[in-house]
Amino acid sequence: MSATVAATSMQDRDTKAADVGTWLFLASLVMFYGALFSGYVLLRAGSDTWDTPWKEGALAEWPTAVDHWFRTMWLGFAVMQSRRLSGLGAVAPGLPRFAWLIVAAAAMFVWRSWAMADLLLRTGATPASSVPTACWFVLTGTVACLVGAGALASAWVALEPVPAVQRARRGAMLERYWLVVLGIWIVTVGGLYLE
Amino acid sequence: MRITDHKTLSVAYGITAGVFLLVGFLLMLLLRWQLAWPGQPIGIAAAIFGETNAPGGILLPEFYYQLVAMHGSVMIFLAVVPLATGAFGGYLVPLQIGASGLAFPRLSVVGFLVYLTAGLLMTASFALPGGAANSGWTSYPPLSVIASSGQSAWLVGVFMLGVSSMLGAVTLVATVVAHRARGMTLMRLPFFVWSQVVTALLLLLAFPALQAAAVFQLMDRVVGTSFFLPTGLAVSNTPLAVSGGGNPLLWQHLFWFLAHPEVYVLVLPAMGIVAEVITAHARRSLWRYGLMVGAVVGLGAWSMVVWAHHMFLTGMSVTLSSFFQVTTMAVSVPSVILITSLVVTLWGGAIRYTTAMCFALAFLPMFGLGGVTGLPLGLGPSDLILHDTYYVVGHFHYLVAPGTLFALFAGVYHWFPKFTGRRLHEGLGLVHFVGSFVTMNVIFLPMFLMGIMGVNRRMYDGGLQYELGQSALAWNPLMTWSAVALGLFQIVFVWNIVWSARRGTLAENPWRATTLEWMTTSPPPPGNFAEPPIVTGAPYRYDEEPA
Repeated sequence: MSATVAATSMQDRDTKAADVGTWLFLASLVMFYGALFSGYVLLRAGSDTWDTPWKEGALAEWPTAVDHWFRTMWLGFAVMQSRRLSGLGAVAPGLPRFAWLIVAAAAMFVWRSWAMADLLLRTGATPASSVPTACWFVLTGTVACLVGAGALASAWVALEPVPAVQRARRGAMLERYWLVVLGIWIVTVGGLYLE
Repeated sequence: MRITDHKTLSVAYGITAGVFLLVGFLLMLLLRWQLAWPGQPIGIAAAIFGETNAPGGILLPEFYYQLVAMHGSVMIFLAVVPLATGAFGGYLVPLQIGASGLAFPRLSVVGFLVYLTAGLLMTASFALPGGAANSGWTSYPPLSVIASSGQSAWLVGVFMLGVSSMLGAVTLVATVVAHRARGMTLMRLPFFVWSQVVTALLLLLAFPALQAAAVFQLMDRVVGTSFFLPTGLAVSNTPLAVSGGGNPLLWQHLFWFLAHPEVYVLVLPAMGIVAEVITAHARRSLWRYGLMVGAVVGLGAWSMVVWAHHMFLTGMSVTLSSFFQVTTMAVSVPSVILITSLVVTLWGGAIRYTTAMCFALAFLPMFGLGGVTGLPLGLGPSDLILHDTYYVVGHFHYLVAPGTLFALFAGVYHWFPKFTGRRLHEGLGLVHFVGSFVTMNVIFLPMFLMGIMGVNRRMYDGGLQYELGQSALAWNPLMTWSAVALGLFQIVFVWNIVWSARRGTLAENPWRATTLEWMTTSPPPPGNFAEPPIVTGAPYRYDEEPA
């Protein structure tokens, strides 16, 4: 095999590697959540009774009953902001602002998830009380963890002093991440709340 | 010597995994002692493991099962996979594709540190109250859910290993996709690179299932949930204070969704190594390179739909059982294509019987034996008879020990000049090869006989109560002495490495290999190549040599 000098574009290469890396990471994330959700489906399909305390009492009343729709909106907002972030290109001013908006939306999501879990615990339904409630806590808790991790990543994008082009590229990665998390959340809500 | 340099990091992987290999081997020696001479004291056991585990040097059943679980876990998760991927893959893939390094070097270092932490956590769990995990490397619930605290350490460790695997796999695939030298098209990649890419994708897509299962089981153990605990479960006639309603089979599905592809994670890099060694030492290009690439990709993809053949005894429906029997038989097709291609590559070659080539050649029948003995386990009727017997132990050890480990040995002898600029001593190497070949077969071949006689593989006393298996149990002392001898032959190997690294014959490319890693100095400089290479042809050009 012959070897001679060749010039390659380092920047293009790094962008391509980052793209591939992001997609692979997201694929792994989807497989992880898919395994959790498959477990939920298998347990639910194999169970004669399936109690749903998160759809009863105070949790079924305003405003908690529609809280998961608000949380969906927060995630949608995060997707929108990361899309704006990635679309800004080299226009440096405003980049951190969009990232901080994502962090704020994510924080709202985590806070509301925590509040809902707390409300459920107050009704006496703990993860140990039945398999359905255990599934509820694990699935919603996993999404909250993913959102929290996304918030940290967004804060990192906002804080790290890198060239605007690079930061916009990271915005594109964030956009994909938030889209996947939004999809996971919709599947979770659908799986837990639809009959 | 920066740790972010893929070569330094791979050496760190190699040394760490080598230490874990030694730990797993020592655990095996203790197991083999107990099987050969049940209830007989081991002189130093009490001093090392304490009176609670080995009073008077006699291994207690509880401790024996810790050894069983940790031997499998350490060997698979902490030794062989990291050696095959982190050490060999991490070192060679960037060189073979003409890259200056890995795509995400810092991420790779994080992956290594996570792996190291997980390994230390899992092995240190012997010191926890109740000891290490003791429910086998498969950790089947409900036993594992009610096991000692070491099981929690095992679960956390396995989750961390999943994270480490993901980081390593992302880095490797991104490197191959984005950092190839100019002219290095996909169909010019050395076969070893293909095997590593498929392995990385398997780790990336299959490990999350076990991570999810680990989360469920940790919840069961720590929070008191019942994901894997059925209703009405009683331990020692005392009902367990849990809600119940869970399904133990859920663990098996999630576990085997990883663990069967994990077999290919162990085997595919080995095939990649053997392909490189055979081509260089037989002076032949790979026979049907394109077919082999297709087979390795197909094997990786297909390996993800065969997992439930480990579960024929769980009472699954005939339809489901039939599906998994068919997929299991079908997965042998690409395996046979790969082995056949490697054998045919030898045809008409100018074979040089170096130590590397001897190990590579030995891999073929050893892997073949492991594969063929797997067929009865993939068919429901015969699996009912052989399940959980020593036959199964013999089967998978032939795949991994004289299979994958022989390939890794072949790789060390083949690429040692690349790593150090010096050759390993051939005489010592042949002693190592002959000794390892004979002793490994003496250890594992009788296991088929024991299994066919029905000896269960998880018996503390080795199966003494099986009347039909008594004649086969007589093999146990010989198998144990053979295991001791195997260890002694590895000392020759380690000595060869230490001695040759300082005094071995200087060599740049002693095999006149044509793949790209040999086109730079040995050992390679930081950045790997003085100038970015341009690739103009296939990786194997041996057929172009004058006769």
